[in-house]
Amino acid sequence: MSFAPVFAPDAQSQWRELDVRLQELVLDEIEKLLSDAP
Amino acid sequence: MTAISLFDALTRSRAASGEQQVIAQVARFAAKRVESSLGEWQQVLEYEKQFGRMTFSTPTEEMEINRCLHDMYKWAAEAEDVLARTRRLAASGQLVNGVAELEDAHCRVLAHLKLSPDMLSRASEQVRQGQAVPIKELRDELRARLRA
Repeated sequence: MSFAPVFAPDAQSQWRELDVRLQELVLDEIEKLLSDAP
Repeated sequence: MTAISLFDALTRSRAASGEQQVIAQVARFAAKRVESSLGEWQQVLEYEKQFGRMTFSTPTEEMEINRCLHDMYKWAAEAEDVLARTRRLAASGQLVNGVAELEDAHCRVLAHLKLSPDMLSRASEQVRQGQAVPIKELRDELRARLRA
């Protein structure tokens, strides 16, 4: 099973409010979680 | 079960003596409480893994499961009670095994608690309606902003 990471519009709005460094970390963490998914 | 009242009673009556042996005994008790909290956390993680990725037949079912999982994160309040006591022990120079792991788990759950079941439900509905934004778009947007 593969996963395609997406953001809901609400999540995208909240992501935009983060500090820029955190924005990148969040994306990295999501991709890492998906690559580790069973 | 955190046995917080027992913990506090022990701390008041025995650690007040200032004897290192007594303080160490209290720290060992604290370590047991930390271990117990971490055990409960592992159970929460297991349920989250089992039921958090289910395919739901209806949005109502999804909401109900998300609410149940959200309720499990109330573990954070008990963990905070344990951590408050271990932090006091640390301030008096007595470190407790497993505290760093419990602090990490506690922080993770506090982050989880920022997302209410209603927020998750709304996000799922947006995705079901085809409003999802691929993560690649966010990456491209971020890179464009950083270059600007």
